[in-house]
Amino acid sequence: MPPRKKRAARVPSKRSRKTSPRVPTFLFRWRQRLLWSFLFSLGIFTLYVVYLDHQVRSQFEGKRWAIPARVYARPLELYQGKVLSISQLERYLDLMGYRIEYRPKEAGSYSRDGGHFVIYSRGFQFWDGVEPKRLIEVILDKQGVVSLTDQASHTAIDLLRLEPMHIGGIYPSHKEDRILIKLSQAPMNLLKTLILVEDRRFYEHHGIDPRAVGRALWANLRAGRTIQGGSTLTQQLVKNFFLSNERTLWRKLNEAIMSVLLEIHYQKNEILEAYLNEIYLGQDGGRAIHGFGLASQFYFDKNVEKLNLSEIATLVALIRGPNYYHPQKAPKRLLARRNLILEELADKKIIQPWQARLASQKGLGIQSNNHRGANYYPAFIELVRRQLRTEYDEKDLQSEGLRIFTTLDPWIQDQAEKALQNTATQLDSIAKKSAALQGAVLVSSTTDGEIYAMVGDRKPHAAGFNRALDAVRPVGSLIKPAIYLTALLRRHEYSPATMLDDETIRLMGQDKKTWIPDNYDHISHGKVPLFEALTHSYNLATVHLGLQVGFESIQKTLQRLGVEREIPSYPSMLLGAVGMSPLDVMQMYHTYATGGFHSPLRSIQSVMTADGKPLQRFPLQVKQVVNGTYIHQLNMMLRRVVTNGTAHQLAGWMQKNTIVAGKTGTTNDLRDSWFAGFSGSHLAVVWMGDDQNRPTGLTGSQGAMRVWANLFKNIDTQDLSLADQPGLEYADIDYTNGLLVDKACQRAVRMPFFPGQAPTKVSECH
Amino acid sequence: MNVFVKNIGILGLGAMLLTACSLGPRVPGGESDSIIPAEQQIRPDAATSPAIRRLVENARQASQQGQMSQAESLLERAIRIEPKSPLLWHYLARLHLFQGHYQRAEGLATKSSTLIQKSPNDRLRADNWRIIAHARQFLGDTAGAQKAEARASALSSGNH
Repeated sequence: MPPRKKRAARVPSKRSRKTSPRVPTFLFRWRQRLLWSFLFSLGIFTLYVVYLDHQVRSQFEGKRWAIPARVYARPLELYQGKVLSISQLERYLDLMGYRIEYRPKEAGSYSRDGGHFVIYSRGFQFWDGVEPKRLIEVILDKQGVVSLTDQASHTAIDLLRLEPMHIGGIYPSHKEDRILIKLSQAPMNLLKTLILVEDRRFYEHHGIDPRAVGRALWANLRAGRTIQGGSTLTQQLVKNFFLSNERTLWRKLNEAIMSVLLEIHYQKNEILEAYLNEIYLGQDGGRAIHGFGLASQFYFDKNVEKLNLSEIATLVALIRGPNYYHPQKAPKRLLARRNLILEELADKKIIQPWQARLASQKGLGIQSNNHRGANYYPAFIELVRRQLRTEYDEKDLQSEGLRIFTTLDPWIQDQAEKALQNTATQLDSIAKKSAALQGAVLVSSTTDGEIYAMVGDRKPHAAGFNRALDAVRPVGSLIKPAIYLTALLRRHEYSPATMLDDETIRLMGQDKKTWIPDNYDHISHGKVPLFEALTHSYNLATVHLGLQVGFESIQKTLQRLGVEREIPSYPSMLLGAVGMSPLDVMQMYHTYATGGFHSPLRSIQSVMTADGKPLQRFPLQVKQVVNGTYIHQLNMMLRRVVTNGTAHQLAGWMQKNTIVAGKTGTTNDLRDSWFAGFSGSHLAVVWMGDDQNRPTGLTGSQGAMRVWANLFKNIDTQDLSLADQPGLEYADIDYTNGLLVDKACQRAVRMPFFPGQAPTKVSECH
Repeated sequence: MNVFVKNIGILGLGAMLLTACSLGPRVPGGESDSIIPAEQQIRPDAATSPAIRRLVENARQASQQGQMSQAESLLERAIRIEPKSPLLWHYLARLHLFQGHYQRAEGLATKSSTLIQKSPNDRLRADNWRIIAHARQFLGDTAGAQKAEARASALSSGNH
């Protein structure tokens, strides 16, 4: 193309007038390259900014203030014949915030005269129908509900449900415990202090504030230490989103860009609200304390609205470094910083000097060892949260204001909390001084897998380490019934009267060292019947039996019973050198308590959306995993543990003769104290021990069983049914030699046998 | 529901459910038992306490209107009140069988049978075996279904 050629030729000639002909060509190319690389970089940078924009917005949106899911306890069902005491009904009404009145005139009130209640119920939309609000008369006698009458129509009511107790609010899609607050909930002084100390020009800047850096430098120089930082609240918020403390230039640059982006998209007040809820204010074991809502609860055991001036200054002081200003590790440092802030507030005339003086004179007022969480039943709520996450679609959980109906029974929960708290206090004097006694309690139904109560700490309202779920400890003798069941399942080889060797044995342990198990009383009992070995929890007989049936069979039995953890194949497993959580133990014992049926343990009945639409329900599920006849044989032995064996003190402690069965568990050097037991309607598992695994000096019956007894003393529970089973024969056995014996003999124990299983030889009774 | 009825026809199991419908104490003047649909399978008159009667009646109505999960929930409430009633477990087993939840139906029917203790109720036991036979058949376990059916027949013939 000639014209192009011409132009091309002309360009250098034009330039040649000024400089040499070679350099311009080079410069031109260089400039062009520069331009291109500039455009290219700009493109990359734009893309990068778009990426950051997306990142920071999704973080912000995901953490904005939202309506929490409402969590409810199991509602109280009232019907004629229901076992219910006056104090129980009063407690329920109290928990649900019913006011006592002379004559109830509005929903949410009641009157009482002896066992005669008039209740004005509030009404509720349940999963399976609406319960209207109404005025009802409930008459109770010693046994329970005698009659239920609708006061308006004077007709008898077949059954009714009081509205369920609201037990907490959770954010199912968030991992942590939060108490989100609205900006309007925050005290004005908190906002003013925050802005004064952390970001004075918050309402003026656009995300970054170069002047603040200079000012902070000056203020810090003047004070001789760091009292101000140069980051804006927006920058701090962004930094918190990504939870990284690295202080590189790159990081700072990213933060700055994201801060500006955030300011473009959102209002100042939205950013401030997010800041209030997001800022990191401390650590409680594995739990991070984010936001002023949870921090006020955690440090001062009160709602954010109730914070006073010195508490506000303390929390704001913590922002700079919750660890550096740690209330327990560095209280003086924190106090000094708090007072500095108070001074500053007075200086800037936000508060009066006398207010600052007064507030400065106060101590920190930190509730030591408080661990208070967002919810009243933190351990149970934690289980709800976990089960929601495993059973539900993440998408469903994000819809706002879900209603979660749980299986918690407030009365049983109360009793479980009290039993652990009070018993632990009593045991502190008996237990070893070197140990810090802790515990966990779980209670479930034996009809299905519904969990009635869960306590994860002897201080029941403490959030944090949930021992009921997460304390994985050796189970000791709690494993034994599974070994005995494995034997019973081979009915042609073993029966309850089979004689076992309770003799010393040497074995090769897991670490290739010789393992010589011993009985708790250090005595070998020679030959003992199978049922008697379990009754007294003889270790040597159990080891012999376990080796005979084999690890593999026992592992299979445990699997059938619902144990999901891996069970090791070394001999000490036979004595419970197997780590399980109280919840795992409960799943295993649930199968015994239900007569051989497996039901997944669960804390949720159903979930509804905010507008009352059913979302999902967990149906009642049972699956037979072990034939009930074998379980009956086992339960007869577990009953004997309670009447004559290691748990013989139980009935006395319970102060009643309800038929229950159970097993004690103790681990080496008295480190763990366990008890798992069940009646006809309730199963409970109790663990006691020390978090650092120091010996507590308590056996299963001295520790955990006491808690169990104190719990069952106070709940209405039904006898365990041990009625004769069709297809089995019952024989009286001499517990010293496993032979038939006259039923009048003191040594006679009635045991169930499959036809042909029972011994035929007769023992003389002297 | 239609698919279910059709399937039963195809598999030739209809007769089993016909007999399965005859359960519980009969009430004079009560409806005929020889009907398949689930809405007629829940019989409130079989239970004694007014609370249970009300729940079972409501469950029956709910299942009639096709609100199966509501019916389930009501029966579960009844079971929580009277957990040892084999009949309630049996009803719930049927409701699940009807909805095609075969494993659940089998588990519940088995549970129902284990609760029959003092007064031998072979008829209910046989009905439970029939539910199990159905459930196994639908799950493809023909041998298991035949076994269960044999148990049901043995109990029925022993009873009549």
